[in-house]
Amino acid sequence: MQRIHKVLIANRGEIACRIARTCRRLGLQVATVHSTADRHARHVREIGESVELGGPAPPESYLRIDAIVAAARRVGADAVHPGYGFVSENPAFVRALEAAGLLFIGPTAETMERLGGKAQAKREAARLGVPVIAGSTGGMNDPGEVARVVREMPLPALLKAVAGGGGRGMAVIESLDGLQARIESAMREAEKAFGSGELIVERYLPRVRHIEVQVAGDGRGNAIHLFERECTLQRRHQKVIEEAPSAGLAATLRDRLLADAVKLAAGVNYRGLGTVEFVVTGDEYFFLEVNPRLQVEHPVTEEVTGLDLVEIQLGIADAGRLPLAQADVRCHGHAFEARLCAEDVQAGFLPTTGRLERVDFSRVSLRIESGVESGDEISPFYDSMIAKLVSHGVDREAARRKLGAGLRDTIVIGLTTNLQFLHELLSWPATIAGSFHTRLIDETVSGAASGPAAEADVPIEHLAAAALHWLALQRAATPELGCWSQAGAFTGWRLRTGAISAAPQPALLLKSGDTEWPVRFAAPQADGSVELVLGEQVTSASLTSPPSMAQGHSLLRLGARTVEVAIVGNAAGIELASPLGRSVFTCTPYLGGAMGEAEAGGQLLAPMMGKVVAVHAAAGQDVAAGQTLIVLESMKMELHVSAPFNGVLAGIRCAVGDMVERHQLLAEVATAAGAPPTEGARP
Amino acid sequence: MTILSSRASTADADFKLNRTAYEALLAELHERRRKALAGGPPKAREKHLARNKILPRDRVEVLLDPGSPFLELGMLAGEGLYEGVPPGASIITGIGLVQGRPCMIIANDATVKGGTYYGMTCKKHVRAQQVAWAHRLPCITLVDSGGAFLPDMANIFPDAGQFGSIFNNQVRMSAEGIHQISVVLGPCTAGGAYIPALCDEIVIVKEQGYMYLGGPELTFAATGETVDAESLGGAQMHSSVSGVTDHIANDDRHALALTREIVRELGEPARPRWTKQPSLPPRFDPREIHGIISRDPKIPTDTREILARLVDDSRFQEFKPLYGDTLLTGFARIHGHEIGILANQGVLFPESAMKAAHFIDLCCQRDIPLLFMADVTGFMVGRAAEQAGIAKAGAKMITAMASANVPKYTILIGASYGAGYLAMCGRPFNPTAMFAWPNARAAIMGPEQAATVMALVRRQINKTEGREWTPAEEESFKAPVRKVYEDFQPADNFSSNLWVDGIIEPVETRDVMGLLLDLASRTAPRPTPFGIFRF
Repeated sequence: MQRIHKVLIANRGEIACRIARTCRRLGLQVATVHSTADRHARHVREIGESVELGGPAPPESYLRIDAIVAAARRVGADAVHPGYGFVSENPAFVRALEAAGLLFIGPTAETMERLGGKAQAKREAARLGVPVIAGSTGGMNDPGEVARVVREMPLPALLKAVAGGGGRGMAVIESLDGLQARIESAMREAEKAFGSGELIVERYLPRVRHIEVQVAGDGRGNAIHLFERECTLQRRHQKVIEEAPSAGLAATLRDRLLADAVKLAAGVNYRGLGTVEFVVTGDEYFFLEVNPRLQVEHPVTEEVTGLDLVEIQLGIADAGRLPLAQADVRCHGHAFEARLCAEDVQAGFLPTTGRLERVDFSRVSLRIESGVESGDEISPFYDSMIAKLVSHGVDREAARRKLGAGLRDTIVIGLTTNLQFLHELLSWPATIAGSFHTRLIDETVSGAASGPAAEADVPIEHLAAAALHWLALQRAATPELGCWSQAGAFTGWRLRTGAISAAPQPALLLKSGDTEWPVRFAAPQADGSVELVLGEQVTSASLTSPPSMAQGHSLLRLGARTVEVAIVGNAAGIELASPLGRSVFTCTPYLGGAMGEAEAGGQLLAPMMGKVVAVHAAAGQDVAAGQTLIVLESMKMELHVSAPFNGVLAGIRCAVGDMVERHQLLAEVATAAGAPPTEGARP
Repeated sequence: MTILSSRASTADADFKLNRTAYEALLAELHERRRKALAGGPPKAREKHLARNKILPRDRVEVLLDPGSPFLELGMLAGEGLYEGVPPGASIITGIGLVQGRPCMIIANDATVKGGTYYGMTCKKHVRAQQVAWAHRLPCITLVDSGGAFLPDMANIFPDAGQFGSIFNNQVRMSAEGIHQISVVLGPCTAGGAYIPALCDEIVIVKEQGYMYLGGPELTFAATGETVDAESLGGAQMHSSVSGVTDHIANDDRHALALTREIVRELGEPARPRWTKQPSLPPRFDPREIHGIISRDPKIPTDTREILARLVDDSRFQEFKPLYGDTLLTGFARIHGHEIGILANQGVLFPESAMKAAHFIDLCCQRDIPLLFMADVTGFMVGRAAEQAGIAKAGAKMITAMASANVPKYTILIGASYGAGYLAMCGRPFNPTAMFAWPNARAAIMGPEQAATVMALVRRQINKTEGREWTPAEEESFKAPVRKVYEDFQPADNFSSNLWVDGIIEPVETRDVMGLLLDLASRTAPRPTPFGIFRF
């Protein structure tokens, strides 16, 4: 590198780590930035030098142009790599860097302005003869005007925030009912998310594929492509699994697409690396937008071309020319990428947050791009991506199988993730065939809105491991009592009877989803295994953690099968993952529920001698636990007599003005069924 | 420290025959234990369950911490003594962890004759209290008993060590700060009501547990008052009116949950007074003891081979190996606890007895518990022995053994006859705990010796009366004598009469000792003032 010696990476997470890796390989120094929430984040730990920008919310930190420029100066960087998201597409940021004499690794501010807005980008494309989707010619701020354009178009129509991206700020209009309200809502959302409510309208193509072309330009009208990526597997417009090359584009169509992408990049004097996005339906394709940055899914392109895209970015920024010619770019084999995210597929892909107790790719032989490690937090401030798993194979099927194997061998516990879903998605017939469209996941998953995991989903190895782990936790919680609490050997010790038999009463109830397994333990046998009765299943298993194994990992031996399990949890809940999958259990000790049961009878007695000053309910009336029914006055105090549980006031045995004795019956409450409850109804 | 070696071979024909014989004994033991575990007849158990009650053994299981060991005492007490009563004498006693604290659990088995107290039931309850007392264990009594079995009054009512001693022990333990908790799971009438009433805290189950000095019938007979059980001694009444009980529960499960909550708040648990090493298994498989114990009482067993399969890492620091070698003395560890072992290796000679006294003195000064492993036909007799002062030497051994205030444990591992039984810390010397192996036998003398001695006496009488004996006549005289001793001496008889705290298998011995030594380590040391030694 001629001009660049130290790069400030103005990002976080996996992309910051990934950029740093290339920089270091090229002999460049690196530094990064972080928010207060990311003080101990992996990118800070791994890069080793970082400047704190501000609070956890992006506007207080990762979006602060001034702070990033100051950080670059502070660390002595001569160039800034913005990664993706945050300030990566902000022309003001590029200008601020230029003003500070710093190099921006990316397109020019002018290019960003020309292509940043969707409407403008569309105009540029149309001008250059690249097919575009019919729709409004520009952004609109007036809901009435938007409605008028929609009415003139064939439905369905798509409303898109001009400043939007990543699927946010989009709404599909399928009928004219409530049109005005839908438009206003979309504008409000856009306003809130991007600071601008401006919308464009276009023809909505429901059964499309999303194909994008990776391009690179020198800013002087020379551009090349690095082949295309297929990003059709999306949910709510967010990419889930990407691949390169596309799953099955006719050669002629593909050539036209690549050529148009290059034409567009060259036509706008594109500098740096960018992505030209298209939708494809049948043998038609339409320009969508240009992403003037490194994409999340760039690794699939790297895998098939053998190129390092960050290196290309740095090369263009440093030398001002393309480091390679079109003829140097070849596509070998096929690559897949899956985005492992902290989200709850069952709950409509809702992001989940919290501590990532364990994330372990040690058994995965794939390229992994991750910004977190075991013990890190997935905070609500940033995206919920845990890692990208990238596979490469000689053909599409080989790459798909490799990715499937990698997902199967991935261990994530502590958070609900889409791991299982990714694994399933990869085996959908449509995925295997490559005959899909962008709405496939949303249509399939909402239809299946799968209920809680069936019992069959919990392998007996997991049940046994959870039960034995719980037992070990119980033993560990016991004070040091020599033989009485020695782990293992003395568990459940009894005088022998020649037959090994589990205790007749369960010690524990394990629950997963809606299924509950009472667990009974027997004393351990000479080989350390413990006979267990798990619901109806009788088995014998042992759980050991040899010192050579990483903390939190154990070997479960059940019959002739040994399974390596990662376990976290406490006496209340256990989560574990193994090559057999992931299971989550709640644990209730057998006596656990007994204490919550109501002791109170339905008879309400006067707490002391006094005068009834108020009666707040009448016989036959429904009463709620804690509701005041009668007020007594005694010893200058007001005493409230309230319902002990939810029920019906069976009778009032006093009246206002009565003097009552201590422990005199005042009223009776019954459950709706008649008798006082035996459980559960207390406040 | 020496590592014991072994000459035994599992391939040896004799070893195999011994093992086969021993395994038969074990199978028989297991069968009897299973009977004890089953409790009352199926009908009684079904009735119990139909009342929404948890079976007595299950109550114990549920009360204990999951995975807790349970060291049951007197499991086979009363076996064969009472018609229709399985081994155990209608009560379950043993030590287990509740909230991580070792507790003595005493539970009536209402499925066996309504949990009635027989003489042996009283004795077993009292014995459990003594063990709890010696180790300062909280006592949790699960009361569900119909009261005393009146025809057995002589063994229940008048004497020390019978039913009344239960109360005495409760009070004296309480006075020493040993927690007394009871759970009233059934009716407790008359004397039975005092067992819970003398406790620190009482849990009672609604519409199931009752406490009264006189039940409704007796009340009517005595005073003419007609009253229902609920208002006479029900849970609601006692918890809200009389204040006799402290916690009211909806059912067994709730009661046991409450009991666990009570135990959680018993204050700081005791700490060990000695340091335990990590436990090491013996270098030889303890199961080989089955093939080492001689199946023929006339052929002695090599105790050293047994020790090699009993102590940690088979390490034995022998004391005076060359002197009085018919008694092995030395230091070893069992599950990491240091212990002084005295094990017979033949008849006790004067030197063996003097060595024993010396060794016991060492252990007392060092606060090391003693383990007596008895396999002895007695003290040596004859002119040489008497002239060597065997009576004096034996007295030294008995004085040292009886005086010793360190924890003492006795295991009958083979024969244990006459004064040998006593000198090896037999039951009359109140060992902290005492067990027998299934092959053990103990009596004043062996069956054959008894028959021979009696025949000799008879022959003398015959002689003075001028009569002669044919060998057949002599044998027919000896046979019934032999039979009396043969019936008396087995371990079963000792366990049935609670002369031992249980029959344990050789392979269970390490674990039982480990559990007991751990309890003993949490008691205060007591210095030993010795009685006068005769020199």
